[in-house]
Amino acid sequence: MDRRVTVGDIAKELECEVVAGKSCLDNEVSFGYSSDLLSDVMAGAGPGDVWVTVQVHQNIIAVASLTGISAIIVAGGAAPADETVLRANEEGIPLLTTAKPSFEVAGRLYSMGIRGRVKT
Amino acid sequence: MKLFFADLHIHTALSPCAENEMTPPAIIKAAKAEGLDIIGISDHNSAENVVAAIEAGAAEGVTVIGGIEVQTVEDVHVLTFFPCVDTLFRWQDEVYSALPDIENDEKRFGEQLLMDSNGNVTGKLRTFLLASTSMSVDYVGKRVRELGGLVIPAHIDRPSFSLIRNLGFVPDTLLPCCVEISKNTSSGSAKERFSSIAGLPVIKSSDAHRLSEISAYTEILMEEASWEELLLALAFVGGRSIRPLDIVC
Repeated sequence: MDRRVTVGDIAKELECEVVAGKSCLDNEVSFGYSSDLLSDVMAGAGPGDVWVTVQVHQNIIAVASLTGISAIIVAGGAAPADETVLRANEEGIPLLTTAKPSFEVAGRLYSMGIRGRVKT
Repeated sequence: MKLFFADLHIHTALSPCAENEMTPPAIIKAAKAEGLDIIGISDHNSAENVVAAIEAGAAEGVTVIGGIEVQTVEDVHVLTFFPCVDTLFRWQDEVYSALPDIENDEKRFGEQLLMDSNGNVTGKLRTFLLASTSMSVDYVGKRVRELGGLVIPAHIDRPSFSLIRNLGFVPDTLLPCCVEISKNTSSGSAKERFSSIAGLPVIKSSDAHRLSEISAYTEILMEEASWEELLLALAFVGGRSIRPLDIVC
């Protein structure tokens, strides 16, 4: 890639709704991570990742902050809790939603050139 | 002040995954044999056998705290306990309306038996109980507190259906009265592994699905084996205390 994919590129390509963190759409994306177990994300995801999940609990924002995740895509039509949206805006974490299921989202991201983070 | 022994997480034959030997009187007999003074009955998403267990316990001098092990939308198991059955059944109605309408496939998952205090089968529950409700863990916490109940994240050290495994850490808004660890770990090890439980009391339970699993996993220093005293012990009031017995098996 000449240029790193940004969160804004992903939102446009996947037709996601940006429900929080609109000021951070220029965040660059390094790798992709897909998991619904937050303990697994804390252990496996890293800075710049775009994270695909169906979890909408407010803890997803803290996990994203902790790991330096660039954006969260909430897949499968799940609606983030109000508290989650609030915290995403506070922490500056782009929170994207889509009706597409996780599998479809991961496939689309892969097509955009985003690869999975290899655990070290 | 006296030392009481507790196992606050026991399933009856209502839970499809529990053995049919888990009748209210058999549970009480096993509890007595293990030296237990106070037990918690917490079937998956239902409290239908709680009254039978309370009656069976009263006949034998074992205090039974009635509850429900709720499965939240995040697949997190939370023990919810109430001081009286009226409130418990009000909560059960709310849990039922948040459950998907799936019929239990008893050949695959096991029977969901309703029982009386003598252990007679009085019926079967049709709705499949091993499903996630549509309620978030935060909602469960808030609502149960409103109703005057206790909220205890179950077996937080386990690899599945655990608050810590699924949501990473104890949310700062949940405010549980304590956390439960499984019989496979010690409180020292749990506190080392999970920093977010710092400051919270820890209990240990069997999560018994068969009679032989019931055992004294928590000791409570309090005046008597009652709901009110349990609350005081969880708050460590007036020299009372609650702690897991760290015998790792």
